[in-house]
Amino acid sequence: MKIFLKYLLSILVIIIASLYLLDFIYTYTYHHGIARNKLSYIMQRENDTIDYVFIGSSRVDNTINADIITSITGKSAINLGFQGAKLDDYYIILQLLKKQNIKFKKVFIQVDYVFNMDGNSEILKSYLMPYIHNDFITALIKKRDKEFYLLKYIPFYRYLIYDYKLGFREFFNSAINHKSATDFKNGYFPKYGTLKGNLSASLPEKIVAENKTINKITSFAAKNNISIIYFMSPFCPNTAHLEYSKKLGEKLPTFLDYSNIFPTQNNYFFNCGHLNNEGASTFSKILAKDIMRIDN
Amino acid sequence: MIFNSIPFLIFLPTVFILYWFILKKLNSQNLLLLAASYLFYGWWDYRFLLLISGSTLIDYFIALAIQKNNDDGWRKTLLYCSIGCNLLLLGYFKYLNFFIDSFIDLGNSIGFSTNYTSLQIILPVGISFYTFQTLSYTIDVYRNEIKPTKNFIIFATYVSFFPQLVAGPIERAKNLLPQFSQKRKFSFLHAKSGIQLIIWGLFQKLVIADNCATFVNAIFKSYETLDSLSLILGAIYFAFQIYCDFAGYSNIAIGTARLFGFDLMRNFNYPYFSKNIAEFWRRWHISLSTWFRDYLYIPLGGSRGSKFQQVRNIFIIFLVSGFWHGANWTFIAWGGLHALFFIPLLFKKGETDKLFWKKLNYVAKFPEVLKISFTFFLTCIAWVFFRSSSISESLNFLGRILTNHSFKLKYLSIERYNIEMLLLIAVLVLIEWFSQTKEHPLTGNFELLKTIAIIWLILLFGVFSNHSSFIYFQF
Repeated sequence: MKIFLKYLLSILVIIIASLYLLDFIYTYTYHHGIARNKLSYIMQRENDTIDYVFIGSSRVDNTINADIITSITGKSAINLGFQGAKLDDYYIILQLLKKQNIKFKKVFIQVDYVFNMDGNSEILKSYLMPYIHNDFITALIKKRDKEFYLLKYIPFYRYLIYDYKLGFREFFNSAINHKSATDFKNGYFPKYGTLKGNLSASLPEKIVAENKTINKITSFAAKNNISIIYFMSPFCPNTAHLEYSKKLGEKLPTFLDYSNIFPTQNNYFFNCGHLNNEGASTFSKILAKDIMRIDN
Repeated sequence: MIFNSIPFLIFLPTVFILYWFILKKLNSQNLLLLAASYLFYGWWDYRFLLLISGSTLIDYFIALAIQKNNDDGWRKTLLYCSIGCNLLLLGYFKYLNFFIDSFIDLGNSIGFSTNYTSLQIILPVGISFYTFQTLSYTIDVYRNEIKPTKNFIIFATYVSFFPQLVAGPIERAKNLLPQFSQKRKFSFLHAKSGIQLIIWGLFQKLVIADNCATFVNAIFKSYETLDSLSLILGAIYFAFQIYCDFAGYSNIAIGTARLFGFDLMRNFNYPYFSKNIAEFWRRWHISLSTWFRDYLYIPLGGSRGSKFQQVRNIFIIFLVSGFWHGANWTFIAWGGLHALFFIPLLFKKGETDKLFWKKLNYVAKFPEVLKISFTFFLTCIAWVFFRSSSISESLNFLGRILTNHSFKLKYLSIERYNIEMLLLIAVLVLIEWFSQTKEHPLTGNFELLKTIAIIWLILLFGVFSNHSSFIYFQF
């Protein structure tokens, strides 16, 4: 038995040493390699100024071409839409921008049916993992993840659990400084064409009385003197319960409703909730003009 | 509780410490194993425990009654009672909805329509495995091949032994039962090989099976829009997914049992290096194929009798084997295809080696690779049926491979690159190819070095993001 326990111990020591070593290598690479997602891009950018910041889910990521906004308004802009992001994720991004001392003139936050939801996107959370030992990020994750202690104190655990976003391929691409398909200065990720079949969607019939995260965002903005404009990205023509946007408008202080801005143009949509590149370009131009009007 | 989960990571060392350091008496160790097994199984759903304990009680008493009775008629009646009870349980939980749905479909096709909806029946994990294990016990007692045990704890532990409870290997009483009656002595080499098997099993499951699963799910979900090459890769990936999922589980099960001083039978012997379908079935899910051989094929006459009888027996055994896997026509089709692939071997028995292959012997080992590739190709065709949700889906999948004619190696929309998966599979094939004479690849020279390398491969390429269950649990 003693020999076996020694053997077992040696295997355990090898595993633990491997975990520490891999954790160090991955963390170093993610901190020092080229930014391969928007969150890393924010973390690597400090003391900067961006005029217009667009925050939201894929309905921002695939919808707003920040370069078009810049070319029309003459002001800098960035698309900080994250796939699957929810309101609490928007709040995290706002706090991160503040923490990185990135100043901005206006923040545009996309809100739709997410107003009825709580919770976080696993994708955004995975992007936070390489920075878990940063005090600010530690506090963010501690509040939001029941596995926080495992993630923080078991070496390499965070990379194992989020392997689909921070696994070997992502590590390798970071290590060789392989650029992401997205230009993070713009942040827009286009979709092309239109999916086959009938495009349709349905918004919720009812709206919740209030959303606590929106309240947090609003008070955070007031406290930090940030100007926030909520807006709703377009949905395809065949969308049920579009009146939801009116109900939403009544709940939000400043709200631009673009939900039905393309009432007949199915060709602008990749699917019912996401514009394709053609639609996104047209929409970005409309939005830019509205921004200029608001600013003036 | 599944092997690749945090609860099991706590469960296993706890039971190990209690077993070897605290409870040193045989009876106490058996009792611990029984309690641990019930905890392990009840972790899924405590109601499953009622079922397994019921099955255990029935077979325990029936086996004793068979032993006591000298009257052949009574013995046979008791045996039928045991078989009937076990098959009734299996039939109710696993097949009832299938039979009802099939009758309704049949009724609809001839004009009788009904609004019936399927019953809400939860399928108890591993029911097919432990049912077959207890069945073999009573049959062996009836055949006077073993004596029934009077010790209920030993029998209950034999039925529910946690390493192999939910997905095998399906153990025979002849092999496993005596091990519960003998004092176990700790052996370093035995336990070390157990650890190696667990590590190798985890590699198969986490690195190959779970990575393949990502591709397989994406490909089978949208097969109608994918090109021929993607679909071919989908079939190949599934072949490796199901192999590494099940062989991985079996290796972890055998390795875990070794930590407690038990020897379970080998369940896989590098099946994709088989040179024909018959050999494939001697190397694939060995505990099930030998079960069917001993309790179904041989009683039916086996390879004796006329060619017609031989063909009939082959079809029966493969169709039943397919049906054992699941209540769906796709599994029956999978079994039927294997029977079809097997039939030519019955007619060419003895001739294949002498004539055709011998002529090709001059191309050194080339024909062997050809034979292996052809056998793998046949299994892949059958796996498409196994993976699909309906026969029509399988046929459309295979049909699209033949009609699409596009062979571009694209990456999937989830940004998983085929080339990475193919490299991982190539690593597995190479490792297994050079380990064919060994029980598993981590034995032999440079054991520690190989173990470290596999641990690194698991950490770097394993899928940990969702503790996916083992496919064979559903059977």
